[in-house]
Amino acid sequence: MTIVRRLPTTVLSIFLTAIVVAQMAFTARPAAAQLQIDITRGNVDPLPIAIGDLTGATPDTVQVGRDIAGVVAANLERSGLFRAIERSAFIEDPIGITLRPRFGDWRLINAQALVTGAASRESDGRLRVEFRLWDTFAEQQMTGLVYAANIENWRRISHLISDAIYKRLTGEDGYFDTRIVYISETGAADRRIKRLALMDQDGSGHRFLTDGKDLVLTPRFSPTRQEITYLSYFGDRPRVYIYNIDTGQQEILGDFPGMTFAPRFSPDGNRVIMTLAADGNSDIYTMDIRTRRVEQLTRNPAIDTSPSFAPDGTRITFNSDRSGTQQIYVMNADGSDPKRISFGDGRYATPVWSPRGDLIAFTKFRQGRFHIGIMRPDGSGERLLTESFLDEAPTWAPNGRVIMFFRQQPRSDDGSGGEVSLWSVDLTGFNQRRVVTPLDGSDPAWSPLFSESR
Amino acid sequence: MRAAITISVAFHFALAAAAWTGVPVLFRDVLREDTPIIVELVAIDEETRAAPQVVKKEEPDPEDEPPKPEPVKAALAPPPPPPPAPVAEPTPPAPPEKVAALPPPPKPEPKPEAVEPPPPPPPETRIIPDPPTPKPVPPRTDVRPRTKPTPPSKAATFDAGRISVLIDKSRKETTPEADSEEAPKKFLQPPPVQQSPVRQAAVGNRLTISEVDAIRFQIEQCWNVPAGSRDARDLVIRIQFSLKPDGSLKAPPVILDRERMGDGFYRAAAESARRAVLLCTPLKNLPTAKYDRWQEITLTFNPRDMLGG
Repeated sequence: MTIVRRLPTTVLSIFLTAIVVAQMAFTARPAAAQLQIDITRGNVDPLPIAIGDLTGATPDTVQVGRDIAGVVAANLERSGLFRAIERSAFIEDPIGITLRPRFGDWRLINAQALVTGAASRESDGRLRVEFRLWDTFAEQQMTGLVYAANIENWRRISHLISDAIYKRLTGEDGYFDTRIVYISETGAADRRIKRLALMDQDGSGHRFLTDGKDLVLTPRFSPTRQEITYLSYFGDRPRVYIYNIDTGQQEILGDFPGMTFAPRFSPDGNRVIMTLAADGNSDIYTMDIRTRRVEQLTRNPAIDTSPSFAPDGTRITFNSDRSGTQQIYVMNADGSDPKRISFGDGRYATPVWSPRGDLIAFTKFRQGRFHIGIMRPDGSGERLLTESFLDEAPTWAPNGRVIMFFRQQPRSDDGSGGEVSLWSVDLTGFNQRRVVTPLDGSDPAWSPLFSESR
Repeated sequence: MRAAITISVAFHFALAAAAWTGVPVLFRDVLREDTPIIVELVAIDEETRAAPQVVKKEEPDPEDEPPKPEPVKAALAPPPPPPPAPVAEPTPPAPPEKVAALPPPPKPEPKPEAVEPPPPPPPETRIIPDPPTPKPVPPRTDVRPRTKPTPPSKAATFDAGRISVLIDKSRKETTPEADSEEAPKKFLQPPPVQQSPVRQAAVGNRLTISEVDAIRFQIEQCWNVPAGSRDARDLVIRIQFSLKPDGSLKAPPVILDRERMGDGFYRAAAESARRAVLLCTPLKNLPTAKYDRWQEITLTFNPRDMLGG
């Protein structure tokens, strides 16, 4: 009888244990686990950054330190990715290069990053500029660099600092230490004076490279040297020239029977790809700058023009009306296997391959309006970034993130209007900005990073 | 005594039998309850996002709260004295970036070189920011009721059959949880019908949709997404941190997958995610009773929703 009595007790206790165990498993597991949350969106507001004046010991270094901070702030702000916090909001005074900032003071004004630094004179009289970039929340230095240069070059130092900050905070190369070559225009529509002009990407250091006696068109930077190729009507013959910025020398690339236009450098800078029109047909050619050897890439009765190399040099995108309307094509670097990639409604022109290779920028004309747009090299993912009466001639910043182009206002019957100006737009379609030039400007071309082109 | 045991045994056998036979039918019931709950998840999600004022108020604005700066400043350690003459090599807080990549250009060109690291930071213990206490946000009374517990009328009567449901259900629930990658979903299931006190205790410490959503919403407001880059769509960053009961950080957040930090873009993005956590803590509106559910958090940052193109 005791056995009979015990058995149910055992069963009962096992059963109860099972309940308890099950319940422990039920409650204990979640408590031990980590809470996992996916964050799939955030804000795209510009990053608030505080750029303190660089300190200096002498009046001239104090001045240059303040100027550098100003140029850096303007550069970063122009990119649309940063918001430079007003100096008047700063709680902590400039601290120079040797101290750690009081991070709490900077967090209070919402600065997520902070730049501190100092300018001084080296023993040989050269300017020495040091800066540090701080993460105010992690309370860590993110980067710190020293530059030494003649004091007249303080602007370039500012651009280099801007690039270093941009790269550290975005992970992408900057584009501030660059220049823009463009066609400066002035005068009435029928007697337009066009000059080749060069300036820093922020508009400073502006100068004219040609005197305006001869018509100049389509300037393009060499990706490897401080050289520009462009089309000039010198002697009333349109020919492709190369201009060396450092020496001011110009040379004719070649004397061809017909008309050459739309020149552009190959990625290695050793060849120029261009259109040659002869006997009523336009085809694409390359020419080796040193050997002057010419190679014909397209042989099509249609108009093939506006060629542009992929950054790896293996493919070429160009514009052709072989299908009946202007469309964008991609072919191998030897001219084989041309494929049409643009299939949207409207006409496409001036394709330009991005320096980072993932996109092609173009001009699109549709329903009476012009657009600057981008698509992948296989033609997918077309996106229009701008729209206006006339937007044309996109050119990429060397980091493939910003596009510059020119825009023309409609011309009215009384002859007014028709102004052309330079604009830039971010790859995302945001941050459209006018690039200020002394006169009208068209046909811009962005240089590679200065520091990488020598 | 014997009678009691006999009754108990009989009762439990009945319970077991009920479990055996009753389970399939009851499961269907449970499943039917789950369906509307999933739909609800979306509704609450959007509703919560549509209320930006929740976080707006919390932004520390020096102008709005003038008295705050002083105490905070006082709390922070004063900056270290200028470094002594370079006798001993100070341990760098972070190694300065190698700039060897920038070649020294010819004569008048600026010449970059690495800066010596600054004086060592004050002892390793970092000062966790103690930002101004935010204005308390009124509890969002509009969200919670949506999880609508069924009236407890039935719960009053103890139903043996229900216990077995509970037992089996709990096994069902815990198994997928252990290995599921779909992190948020598993916590988002609101408590099913609260039939018994046991049930209530079991689900009591899970976070509800709105609670998880509140955390997500706060972090999203603070995250400055690195957009426009080539591989932004494949970007996945994991940040781990533990919280004190008041929602502030126990220690600096940790970037997981550190081996990828060599990639400049990943590093910039990972640091932006870490900044989002630093910027957003202390987290607000966390249910204190469920502290052990949210004290350890791993956030997976992926801006895929924003980069449709």
